[in-house]
Amino acid sequence: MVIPWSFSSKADIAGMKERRDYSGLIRALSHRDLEVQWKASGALAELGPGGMEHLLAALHNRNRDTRLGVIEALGQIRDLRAVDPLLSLLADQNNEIRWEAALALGEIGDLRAVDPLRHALQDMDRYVRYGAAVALEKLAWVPETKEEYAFSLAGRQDWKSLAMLGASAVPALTLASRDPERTVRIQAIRTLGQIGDREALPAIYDALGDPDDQVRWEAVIAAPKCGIAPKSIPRGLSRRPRIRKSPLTAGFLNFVLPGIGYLWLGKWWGILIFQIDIYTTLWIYQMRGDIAALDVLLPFYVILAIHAWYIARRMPEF
Amino acid sequence: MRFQLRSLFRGPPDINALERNGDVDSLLRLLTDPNPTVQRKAAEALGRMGEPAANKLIGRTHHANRTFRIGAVEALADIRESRAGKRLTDLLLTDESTEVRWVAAIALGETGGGGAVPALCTALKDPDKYVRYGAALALEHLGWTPASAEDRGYFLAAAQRWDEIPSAPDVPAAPFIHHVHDSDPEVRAHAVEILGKLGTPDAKVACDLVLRDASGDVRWKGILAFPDCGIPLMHLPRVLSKRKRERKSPYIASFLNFFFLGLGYNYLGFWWGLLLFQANVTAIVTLAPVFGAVTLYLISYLISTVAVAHTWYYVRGLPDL
Repeated sequence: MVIPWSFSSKADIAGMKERRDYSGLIRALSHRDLEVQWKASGALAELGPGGMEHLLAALHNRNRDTRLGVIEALGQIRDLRAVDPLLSLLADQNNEIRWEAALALGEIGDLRAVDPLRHALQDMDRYVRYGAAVALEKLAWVPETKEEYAFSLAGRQDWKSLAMLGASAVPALTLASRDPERTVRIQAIRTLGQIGDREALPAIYDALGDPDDQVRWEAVIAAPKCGIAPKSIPRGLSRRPRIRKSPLTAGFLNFVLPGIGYLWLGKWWGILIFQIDIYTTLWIYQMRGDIAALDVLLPFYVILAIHAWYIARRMPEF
Repeated sequence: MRFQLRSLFRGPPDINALERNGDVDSLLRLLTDPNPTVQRKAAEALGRMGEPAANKLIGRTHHANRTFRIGAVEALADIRESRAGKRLTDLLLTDESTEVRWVAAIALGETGGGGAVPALCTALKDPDKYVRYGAALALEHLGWTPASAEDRGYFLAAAQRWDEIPSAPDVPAAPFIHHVHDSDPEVRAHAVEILGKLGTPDAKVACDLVLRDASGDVRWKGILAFPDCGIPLMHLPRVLSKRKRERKSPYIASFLNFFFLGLGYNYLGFWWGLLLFQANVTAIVTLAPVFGAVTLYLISYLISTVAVAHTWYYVRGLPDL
């Protein structure tokens, strides 16, 4: 029996390259072995512009690994026909695709990519921003303003240079202060504090309500340096999401689903109470009828609700 | 709670009296006392008693209780009992408890002995950073000097002297490739940073692991480091794409919401998902005798379909980190 190569441990990349088997090489880009993927991508690049049609068609493949491999190969081939399709990928939903497309555009070196890459410096994903900054450097792009230069530095996460740049870095740092990654937000807020410009106030004020404790702390330290009066800081901090669970929700859950309020508060035995309540309700229902079951159990539900509310109130409000 | 109750009814043990009377057995028992201060004082008293205590301690270093073993090692370190060397190296290399291995490393630094240095060198590769740190300090205390550049790399990493590593001559990558497997993300991040500074192609073997790391900081350090190790930056998005995503799966959330209306929302972190689930079940059970089960199931699945569409678009709208 012949086992298809995609299920075997290795694919014959050298053989496929020799035969100019573009379809096989493109299939190998989604091989489970990363080394095979890299080799397949390298082989497609080495085959040069002859396979451009195959590669451009494969850019629409549904498999992410295939698309990443194709973009990588296109970046190495440096054929200008790839520029427009790659530019459209800067808006792809997947952040690795956008990142790889930015890097490939930098490798190809066509100046049509400059403007879209400048926009990509403000992407919500830090890897895409980094890729755009690296690509623009390859394209020998010279920022027109200090603000643009700051976005490029923020893309590289060069916090020291951003601090030295001063007030011009505030918009770039404001964007970084909203990054999904906490370490980026921490550095951005810390740098805004070092700059100490009043333009940073909205970002600092937002960071006071950040879900991450370290980001909030950096904001507390940075706030007075940016001109936020110390007495206004607690108000900003009060907007943070609370870790403590709502006593009202805990009480409500325990009333309608006895035990689940406890479970929601992190007490494992809540599920036990829930199950006991179900068995008890069924037993009383069989013995005395459903309305009678409610008569007996309702006072317990009220007690459980009050208890869940009480223990939630006693939990520390971080 | 246990030691508070004992304090109420019996009062704290008189460790000085036990030491004066040479009551080694009672002091040994106090090594497992629930009060850490009593444990410490008992270990110190045993350490001062010297030979009589050492004879009993050496035979009981493999006691089942972890706090007993820690106390016994502390006491042996104070006694500086040379016969304890073999037991301590055994504990350092084989004990399941991190703290026991750590205190054994410190004790070997105090007692020395023939087998101490090789065991401590092995402990520089321990999976736990506290044990490695203890071993590095112990080796320094014993005046050990690394025999090779690799040993020096392991030593500096264990001592957490990351700044000294790149300036050391002929530093091999092996110690830092070893440390990208560490359980502490701070250690992993430092190890990756050092690999980048060393710029060695040997680091390629760690690329896959580092870019799949659960810590965003480690991944970012990897992105900055690996191009310096000869891995093209364009190779890296593919590896990064293999990492475990923080975003919940839209498929699982939708599946749950279709077959168990509400549990998909619960899976996404909404407390009211469970309530929705219960309300749906209760409605079907109580209204089935009036409207018929088939009608109610049809209505329920119709609502589930709407919930599935909502769940799908909600999850897809979340950042895919």
